[in-house]
Amino acid sequence: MNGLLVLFDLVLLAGIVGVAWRCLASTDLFRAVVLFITFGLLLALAWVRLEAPDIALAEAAIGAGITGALLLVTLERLRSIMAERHTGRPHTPPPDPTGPHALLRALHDPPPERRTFLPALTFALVVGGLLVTALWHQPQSTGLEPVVDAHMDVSGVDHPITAVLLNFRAYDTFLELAIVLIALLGAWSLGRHDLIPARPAPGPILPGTLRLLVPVAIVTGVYVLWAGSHAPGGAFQAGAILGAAGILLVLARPRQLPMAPGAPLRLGLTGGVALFLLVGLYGLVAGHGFLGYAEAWAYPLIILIEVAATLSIALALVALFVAGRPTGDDA
Amino acid sequence: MIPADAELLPGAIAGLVALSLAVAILATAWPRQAHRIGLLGALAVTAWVLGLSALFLNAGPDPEAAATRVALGGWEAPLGLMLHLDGLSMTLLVLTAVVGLATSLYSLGYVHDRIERRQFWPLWLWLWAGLNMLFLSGDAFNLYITLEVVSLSAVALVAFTGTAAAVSGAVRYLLVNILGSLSFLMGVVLLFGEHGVLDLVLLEARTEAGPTERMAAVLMTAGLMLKAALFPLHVWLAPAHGSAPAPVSAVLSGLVVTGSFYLILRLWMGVFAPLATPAFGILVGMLGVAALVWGSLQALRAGRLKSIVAYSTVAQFGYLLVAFPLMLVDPGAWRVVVFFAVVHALAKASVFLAAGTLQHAAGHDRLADLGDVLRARPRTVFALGLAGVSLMGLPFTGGFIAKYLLLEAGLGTVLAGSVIGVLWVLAIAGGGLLAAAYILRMVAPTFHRGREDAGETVSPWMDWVPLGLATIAALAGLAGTLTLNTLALTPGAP
Repeated sequence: MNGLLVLFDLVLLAGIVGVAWRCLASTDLFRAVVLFITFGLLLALAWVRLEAPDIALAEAAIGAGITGALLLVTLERLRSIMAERHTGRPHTPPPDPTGPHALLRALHDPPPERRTFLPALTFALVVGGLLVTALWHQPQSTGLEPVVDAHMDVSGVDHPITAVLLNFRAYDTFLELAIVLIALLGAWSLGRHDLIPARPAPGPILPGTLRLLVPVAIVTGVYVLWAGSHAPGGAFQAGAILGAAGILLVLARPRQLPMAPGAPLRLGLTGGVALFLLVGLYGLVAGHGFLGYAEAWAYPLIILIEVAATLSIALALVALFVAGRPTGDDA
Repeated sequence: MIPADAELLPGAIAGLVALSLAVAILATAWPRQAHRIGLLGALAVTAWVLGLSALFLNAGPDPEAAATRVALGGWEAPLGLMLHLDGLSMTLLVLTAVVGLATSLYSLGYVHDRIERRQFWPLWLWLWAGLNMLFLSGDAFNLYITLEVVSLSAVALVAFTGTAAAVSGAVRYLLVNILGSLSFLMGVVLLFGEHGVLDLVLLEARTEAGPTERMAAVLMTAGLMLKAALFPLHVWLAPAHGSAPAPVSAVLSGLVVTGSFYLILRLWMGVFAPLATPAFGILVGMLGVAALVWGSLQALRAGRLKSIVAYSTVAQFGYLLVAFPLMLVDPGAWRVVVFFAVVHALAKASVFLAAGTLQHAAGHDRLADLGDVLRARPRTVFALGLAGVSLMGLPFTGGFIAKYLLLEAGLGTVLAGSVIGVLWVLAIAGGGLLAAAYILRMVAPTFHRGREDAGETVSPWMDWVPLGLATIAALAGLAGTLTLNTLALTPGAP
C-alpha cells in the first residue's frame, strides 16, 4: 500500500512538472490555457496528498476553475479582436476605444525570442537548487499548530483553518477580500462592458443542463460554506462555486445579459468587506480589539461574515468574467 | 498626562486602520459621491495621523514606552497578528498623510470627468489605506498582503487612462509586481518553515546567520528591490511612472516606491541584521553608485518632462543604496537615510504634480515644445524649481540637510580609515551635480526669450498644490530635528 502511494506521488510529481513545462512551451495559447487548467487540478491533487484539503478545494475551484474560465474568455476576446483586425469587419459591435480591448492589444506582444531560453533555464535551475538546499536544512516544524489547537475551544468554530482565517488572523482574510474587490475595480476602470464574443448555443442541451446544474451548484456552494465551520470549506471556495454557477448562466445567454442596476451591484460587491469592517469596529468599541469577537458571539458573527463574503466573492468573480463595468454602473 | 497618552495609543492605531479602510469601502460602495467622500476622508485620515503622532511623541522619550504593538482581535503573537507602531513607521505615516492630502486636493482639479472620477477615487483611497496598513504591519505574512493591496491598486491607477501606452505600462508594472510579491512570499514561507512564527519581533529574536535566513534574505530583498525599482531592477519604472496620470505618478514615485524601501530597511535592521557583512554592504553601495550615474544620464537624455522626473527617481534611490555601507560603519546613519527618503518623497511628488499641471496646460510633455507654457506659468515653474532645488540639495532646503548628514556620515567613514569612503563621498557630491544638471534642463526654457502661451486653463488646485508641497519639501529641513527625534523612538534600532 505504501509503495503504491509512493508510486502515485512520483507519477503526480512528474505530471505536474511535465504539464507545467508543456504549458510554458506551448506556442498555441488555447492549448496553454487547457494545460494550465490541468496543472491546477494536478496541483489540487498534490495538496490532497499533503493533507491540506482546504487548499486543495481552493486550488481546484479558484486556481483551476475560475482562473481557467477567465483565461478562456480572454482568449476568445483576443481571437475576436485579431479576426476583426484581419478581415477589417467587426465580429462584435465596435468596441469602446478605451475598453478592455486596449488591454488585449497591449498584451498581444510577439512571442519571446528563443535566445532568452537558456538564461531563463539557468536562472530557474539556480534558484530552484538554492531553494532545495535551504529546505534541506530546515527542521521538521509544526508551525503554529499546537498554539492554534490550544485555542480552539475559544475560537467559536471547530475547524482550525476557519479559526485562523476568521478569528485569529481575520485581518489577513479581510484584506484578501479587499484584494478581490480592488482587482474588480481595476478591471472596471479600464472601460465599459462589451459583449462576450460567444455565440448562444442553439438547441435544448445547454438550457437543459443549466436547469439541472445551477440548483446543484447553489446547494453545493451553500453546503461548502456551511461546512467551513467544522470541516474543509469556507467563503472563498463557496464563492467560487456560486461564481461558477453565475458564469454558466452568463454563457447561456451571452447576448442578453440583464442590465445590472448600479447601486445594488456596488452594495453587493462591497457587502463582504463592509460587514467585516462593521463587525471589526464593534469589537474595537466593545473592548475585544479591532476585528475581535466576544467568545459567545464568535460563531454567529463568523457565519454572518462568511455569508456576506461568499456573496461578494461570487458577484465579483462573475463581474470579472463579464469584464468591463456594466452600463448601469455609470448612472 | 503621559500615561494617558500611552493608553490611548493602541486604540488610535487600530482606529487609523479602520478609518482608512472605511473611507475606501465607502467610496467603493457609493461611487457617485466618491470625490466628496475622498476629500473628507483625506482630511480625516490626515488629522488622525497628526493626532496619532502627537500621542506618540508625548508617550516618549523612552522608545520602549512610545513604540506600541496592538494585538488584533485580542490575540497576541504568535497566534494572532500584531500592528506595530514605532518611530520609523510614524515618520512614514506622516509623510504619507502629507503627500496623500496634497495629491487628493490636486486630484480634485485633475480628475474632473464624472466617469473618471468614479473610477479614480476608490482606487486611490484603497492605495492610501494599503500604504497606512503596510507601515503599521508587524507580521511577515500580513506585510505580503498589504503589499498586494498597494501594488494592485497602483497597477489599476497606472492603467486608469486606458490609452495603449498606459495599459502596456500597467501590464509590465503588474508582472514586475507579481514577480516581486512572489519572491517576497517565498522568503516569508522559508522563514515560517524554519522558525514557526510570522511576527517580526519574534522572528528577529530567533534568526541567526543560517542558510534559510540567507536564502530568505536574498528572495525578499530581491523582490522588494524589484518593487522599489532599485538598480539594476529599475527598467520598468520609467514607462509606468511616466505614462500614469500626474497624481498617480506623484504617489508612485513619492510613496509606493518608498514603501518597498521602508520594508527593506525594516527587514535588514531586524530579522536579517545578523547577515549584514561589509562585503554585502559594499556591493549594495556599488549598485547605488551605478544607479546614481545611470539614472542621471537617462534623465539628461530623456525628451519628455515626466520621463526626466521618473529617471531621477532611479537616480535618487541610488543615494539610499549608497547609504547602506555607511550604515555598517555608523549604524545610527539609518535615520539620515530615512530623512533623505522623506525629503525625496515630498520633493518628487511636487515635481510630478507640477509636471502634470504643465502637461495638462500644454496638452503634451515634450520638453522641446514646452517653452511657451513654461514662460507663461511662473507659479508652476517656481514649484518645479523649488522642489528641484531640494532634490539637488542646495543650502537651506530639506534636501541639503539630508545630503549634508549623508556626507557627514560618509566623512566619518573616511576618518575611520576606509578608502572606499572617499568614493562614497565623491558619489554623493557628484550625484548632486548631475541632479542639478537635469533639473536645470527642465526649467531652462523658461529663461529663453520667446512667446508666452498659458495653454489650457487649469483649476486653482492644480496651480497651487504643487507650490504648497514644494514649499513643504523645501522647509522640511526645519523639521529635521523633529524627524530624527521621532525616528529615535524605534526600539532595537541603533
